Amino acid sequence: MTAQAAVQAAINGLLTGGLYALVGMGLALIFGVMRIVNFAHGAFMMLGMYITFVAVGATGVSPYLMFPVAGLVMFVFGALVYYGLLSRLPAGADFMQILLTIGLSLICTDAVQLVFGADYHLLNTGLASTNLALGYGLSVNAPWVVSFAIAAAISVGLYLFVLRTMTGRAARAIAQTPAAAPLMGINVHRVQAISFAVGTAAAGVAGALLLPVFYLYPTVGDQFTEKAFVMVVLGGMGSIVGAATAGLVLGVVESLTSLYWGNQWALVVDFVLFVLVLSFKPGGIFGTERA
Amino acid sequence: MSQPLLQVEGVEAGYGSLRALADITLHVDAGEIVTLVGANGAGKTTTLRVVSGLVHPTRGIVRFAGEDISRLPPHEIVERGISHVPEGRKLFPHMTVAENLALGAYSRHARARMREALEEQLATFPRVKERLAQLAGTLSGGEQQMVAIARGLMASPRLLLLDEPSLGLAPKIVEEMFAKIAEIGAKGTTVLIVEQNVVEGLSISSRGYVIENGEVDRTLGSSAAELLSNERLRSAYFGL
Ligand SMILES: Nc1ncnc2c1ncn2[C@@H]1O[C@H](COP(=O)(O)OP(=O)(O)O)[C@@H](O)[C@H]1O
Ligand SMILES: [Mg+2]
Repeated sequence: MTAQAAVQAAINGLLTGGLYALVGMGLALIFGVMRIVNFAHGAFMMLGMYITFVAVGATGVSPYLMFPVAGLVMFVFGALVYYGLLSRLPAGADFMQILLTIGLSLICTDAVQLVFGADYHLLNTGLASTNLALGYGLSVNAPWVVSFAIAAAISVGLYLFVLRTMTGRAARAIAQTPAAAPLMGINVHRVQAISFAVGTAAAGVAGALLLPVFYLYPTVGDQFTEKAFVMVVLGGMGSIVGAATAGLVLGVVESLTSLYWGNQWALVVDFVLFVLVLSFKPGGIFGTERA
Repeated sequence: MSQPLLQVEGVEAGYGSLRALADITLHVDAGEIVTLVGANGAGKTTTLRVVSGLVHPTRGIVRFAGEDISRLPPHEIVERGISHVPEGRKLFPHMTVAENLALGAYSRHARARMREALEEQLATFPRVKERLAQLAGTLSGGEQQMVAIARGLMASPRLLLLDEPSLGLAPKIVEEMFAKIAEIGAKGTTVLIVEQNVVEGLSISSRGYVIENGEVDRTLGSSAAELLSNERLRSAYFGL
């Protein structure tokens, strides 16, 4: 295989990685602040896809303009899940938390299947066959570029939220020293609810941006839950910068693996990375402890 | 000038089925420095945690400036003007000293005068000023304690609670620490301290209380001078 094919695969992988990054940052935020191992994260992303699918179907507006709708609905949904379910669990009930989010994931998936059926859908934006030439025989697919650009902008926004706003600062304070946070005057429940809602909204927006370039079906989120965990571990537990970097790297590694060894190896490589990092570098490899 | 700033009356509190406090009654007047002393596990930390709302009393009442605060959550108690500097400093280790201080002024009333508060704290703690850009986790123990107190004062509190500020510090730093606390009190902040260094604590205080098995020892008066000269206390706590 030529070098050109490898570069092309790396470029495609980077574009995919941009969407992975957004999914991973959402989970890192949730894990970092609340230590909630959220097995429903991929299902939240899937809900974002279906919300956008329905919104586009009803209005005919481009999905690229509909991502705020998915973000907003999933933000509210996240806040409801936090106040309605998660905040009611006793402190330290990690196992119950895991069961709860797994249950939530199944309910979301089954509810969607009940309403929309298990069929695959593909949203045609009319951009799908538009490729932009980069020279040297390389090109990029237009819908991926648009999705990547929006995902990148939102990722930067998330980073600024966590690093620069008072609420983001409070979220990091809770993650670093939970015992001291309330003594600063931080309303811990409220900040956790906002963090969970923002993380959920990030998953929903990622779903909206994935819709133009991916098949839609009720269990589409499952693989993303798995990938998001790989990103959070590679990125260093709870680091959103680390998770974003890991998302980009994962996209490229998967793409190159598919090119050289075949598609079926991509997920295997994900988990080999996951296990190696957990065993030898449990602090992650891309993370910064600051954010 | 009638009611005390802080009034703790017949408080009982604990953790699950463990009763850490049986009957705590004490008060702190505005402008005072008051020290709580007592053996390990006597309930000193729990007393401060009840005042700051981290633990809710199962009996009794806590009044601040006349208002019953015993059922309020911690963030609302901070809003009313009580700032608790916890045992073991509990800084945010992966944030800069500047960010730690900013978080100290998180509550609404404190945010409004964050700049002034910061200037005051940097004037009181010049060493903290030199470390503003450094991550809090990389500071020495003494510096961390200074930052913890400065962070607590960033809330512009009327009452400052200090839990063992001298814990684990070198003797020379301990001396400096108590001088700072006396200075903070002289500038008008009311202070309630828990201290193992009983002599140093009582020396800068007007009054003190001895806590034993979750109760205030009522056989002792509360004037600091009296406590310092009490023979039984001298042998039990001061090692004199
Ligand atoms: N978080 C906690 N959970 C359960 N028991 C605790 C906790 N903190 C303190 N205790 C218990 O409460 C009692 C009083 O502790 P504490 O207030 O910390 O005493 P002191 O500060 O005087 O050393 C002790 O018996 C201690 O073991
Ligand atoms: Mg203690």
